[in-house]
Amino acid sequence: MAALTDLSDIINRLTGGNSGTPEIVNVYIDNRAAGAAATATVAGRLTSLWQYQKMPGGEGAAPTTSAIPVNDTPGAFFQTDPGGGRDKWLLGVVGHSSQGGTLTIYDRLVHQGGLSGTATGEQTTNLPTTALTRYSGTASVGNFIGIEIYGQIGTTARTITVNYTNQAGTPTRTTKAIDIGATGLREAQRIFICPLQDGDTGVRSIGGVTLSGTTGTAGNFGVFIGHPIISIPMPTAGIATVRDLITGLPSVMQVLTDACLSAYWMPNATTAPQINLQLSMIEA
Amino acid sequence: MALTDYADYKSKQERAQPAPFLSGNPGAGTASFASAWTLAPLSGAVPTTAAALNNTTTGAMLRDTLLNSYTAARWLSKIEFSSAPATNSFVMLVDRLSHQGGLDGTLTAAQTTNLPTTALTRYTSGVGVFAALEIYTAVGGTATTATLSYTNQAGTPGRTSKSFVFGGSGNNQPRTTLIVPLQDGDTGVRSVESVTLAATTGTIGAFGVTLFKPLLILPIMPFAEKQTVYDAFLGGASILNEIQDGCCLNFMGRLPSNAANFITGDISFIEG
Repeated sequence: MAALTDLSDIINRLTGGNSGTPEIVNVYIDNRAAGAAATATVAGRLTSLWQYQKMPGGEGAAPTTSAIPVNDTPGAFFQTDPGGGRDKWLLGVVGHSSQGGTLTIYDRLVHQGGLSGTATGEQTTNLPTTALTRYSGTASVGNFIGIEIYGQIGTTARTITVNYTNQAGTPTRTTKAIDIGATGLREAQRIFICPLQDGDTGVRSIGGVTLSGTTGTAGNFGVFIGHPIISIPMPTAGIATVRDLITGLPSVMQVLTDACLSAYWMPNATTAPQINLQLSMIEA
Repeated sequence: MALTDYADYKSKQERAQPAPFLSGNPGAGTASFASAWTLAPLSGAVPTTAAALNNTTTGAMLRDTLLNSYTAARWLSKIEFSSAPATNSFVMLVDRLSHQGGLDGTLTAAQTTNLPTTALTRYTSGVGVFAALEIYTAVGGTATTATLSYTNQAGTPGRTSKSFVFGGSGNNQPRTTLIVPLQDGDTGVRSVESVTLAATTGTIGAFGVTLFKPLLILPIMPFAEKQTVYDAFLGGASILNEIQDGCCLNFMGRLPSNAANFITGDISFIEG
């Protein structure tokens, strides 16, 4: 592992010098999932692209027991791992979408499924989540909790809270209640990011999930822990956006070994997007 | 040989010979992701039998000997171009590796006419090689789905792509290019053996398989005749592609319909 020293070092590694191992990952995300059209998006509601069909890699499966997805788990972007004890660095991203919205790339650290939209007590099926292998321990600062719907739940509006262990290792913390269920908040591929308890800045594990009442349909949903990498605004259908991390904010980002790069989408419209991405990475 | 530092980059960039180009607007006539291959002035031929492509193939954007004159690694470092669309859009510069045609928009059995595709001559491992169905004559207005049987980047044959939409409004017009999502775990394609439609689109039309390597996604600013300047190192997200001998450069993209549009500009390469 070595730090990137300056622009010259980056240029040298980006052209293959000093074991830079440059890699440009091209990703195409199709607006279909599990052999059917993806669920229509809702403006202002997050959509998970985990199960969208992709090149490379295929599509993510709905998880059951808690599992740690990695860089070559279908659903991820399939970048290669760094070799020789080096670290991997993201230098920039270019993206385009057929629909307006904002794409966020994150490292999907752990996920599970099999939760029910009708159970009213705390649900611990397939929980607690497996111990993190990336952004673990005190490095869990910045980790977020997502709830992801895999099979449509019911039409009754409810709220949901998550019992978790925070960045300091303190268990039985409880997220703020957020809405779930009813139209726009119940369909497959919808996700919700949970606001943490006051004072918390990250998450190490999830222990349980509680609905305020039944939504009316069991469906299937789960929780995951992610770590944000970068957001790419694509505000208008058709526009391509360049995020250069050398000359622009937030700066060059580390991509951890085995990182399961995936994405979620904040849509401006109701048509599921098709997205092309390029990510440039080097090792140091 | 790698570039040693910024001064080396700057020096070589100053000595680079920009290569001018003129291409048709790949979005002309369609709102979908589309290819400029057959458009004037480059006017690539509609393929029949499977063929590997290079910089001498009619339709390649840069056909001069520049692309075969390098003795060391070379990278696509800068591109500047202008285009007419006064709206947001993008083009993707690709290395078009292989294609074939003569497929039928009404058949529901596995089609093997002019397949398999030829062996790759660049990016031969197949890693990162995309497959697409490219329409040359409009197929029908009935939307269906398609799947491909292909050999993946590990040389494993008989892989089956995910099903993707083919035909119907927005997906049936000439030049429409439909990128293929691969089977779980695959990262690229070495060859395609057959194409299967789930149902007829209603019109035979003509389409084929194209294998390509994406090189650059380039935004087009929403102003008529606006010039776009891309520098891989300086604001260009470090998308610095090493270019392979004999690359067959071409544009794909998603642009508004305007058959009169052209894309004109030049590309700079630097050599290590």
